[in-house]
Amino acid sequence: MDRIKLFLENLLDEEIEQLVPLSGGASAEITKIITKNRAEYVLRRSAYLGKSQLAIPKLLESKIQREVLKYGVPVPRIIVDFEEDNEIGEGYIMESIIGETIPRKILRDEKYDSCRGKLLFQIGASLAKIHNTSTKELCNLKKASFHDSLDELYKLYLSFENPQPVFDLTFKYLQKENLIEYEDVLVHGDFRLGNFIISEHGLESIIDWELAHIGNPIEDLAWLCVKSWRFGNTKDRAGGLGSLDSLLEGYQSISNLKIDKTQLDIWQMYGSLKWGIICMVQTFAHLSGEIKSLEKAAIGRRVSETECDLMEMIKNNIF
Amino acid sequence: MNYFDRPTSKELLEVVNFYVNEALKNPKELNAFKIKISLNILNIVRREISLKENINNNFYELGRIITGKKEFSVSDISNLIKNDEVRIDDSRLIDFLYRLSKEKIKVDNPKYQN
Repeated sequence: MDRIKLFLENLLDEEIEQLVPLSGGASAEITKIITKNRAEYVLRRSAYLGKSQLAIPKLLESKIQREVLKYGVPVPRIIVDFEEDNEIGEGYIMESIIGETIPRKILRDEKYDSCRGKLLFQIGASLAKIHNTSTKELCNLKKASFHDSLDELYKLYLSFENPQPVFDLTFKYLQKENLIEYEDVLVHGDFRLGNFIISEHGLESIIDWELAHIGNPIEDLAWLCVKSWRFGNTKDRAGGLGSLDSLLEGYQSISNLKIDKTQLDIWQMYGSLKWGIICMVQTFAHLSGEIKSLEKAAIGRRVSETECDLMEMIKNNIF
Repeated sequence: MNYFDRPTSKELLEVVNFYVNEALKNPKELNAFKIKISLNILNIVRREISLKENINNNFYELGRIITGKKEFSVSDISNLIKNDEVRIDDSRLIDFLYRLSKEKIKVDNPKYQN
């Protein structure tokens, strides 16, 4: 930790009082930096263990945050970023935003009662700003159509040699779908509660850009609707916060995009399938011996949650 | 016949065993969050032991009809779907997978609502 502290002190030109490890993302080590002057920052750097097969480089994350900020998207400002060829890997330091990210607290704590009603509108409007961001400066981002993403997901699934008939069935269903080709946009890729910083005033910031790519705007809207991201509020389709219409009202206050709800159903099915396969990625990182982890082992048994959701969609058309 | 996902119950017990041994070497590692996960894992194994036989009995006949095999596995059903040897709107297949998903969730996370 001393090595990291020294590196960061040189970078910030400030003395550091404390480094507090925060819970990491799939491919990031996240640390809160508290300086002697009581300033607080957040460090995100590439993880050495359990590196995600899906995540973009950290320098691209910081570039995206700089770009979307220009379009009024609430994101933490980047203070400085640094490349791989130093002793602590690639990463960046951003401002620390005060607020809550834990979904169950946001959905249930009295503290957020007053802002909950307007959250979906703010979230929808912010997503439209993300999708309005020019992608000219983001040419390193991967472009992925629905069928490209589905093919890639299928290859990933097959790589585990662990048959899941519900997933096979869902792949067959989705392979037959015809998607409306909207104009390509910047897609956040993990747009859901957990990646929003919320205060009692509302949405403060959108974080965790590690799955960003260029693609179909419906993907982000539908990902927020995946049942796993409703955190128990299953009747409230949009992130457990409220109705799809409330989300779309916010989105369409900024965007002129005409949204066909049947497209949202298809992308939601894709989203549940994707989350199920991400659970497999996590658990097979443990099972392969790459990283020994209680959490990663346990997540393997969450695959059945996504199977339940997928079968409700396939059999009963319940989304 | 095993209908449950990996980690298997044996692999789940192994990881709890690993964690407890590590924590005993360094008691600072013993934190409430990890203890909660360990308990969740042990509860999955407990429920799997008590429900497994019933699930096997309930799905054996239907699985045999779908696969046409006396002894079948989950991968046989996967292969039928992958190889287009069963229609994806086959009501027996849909029913089998729907009901099985409901049984699996009773083991893996009975509080999960959908």
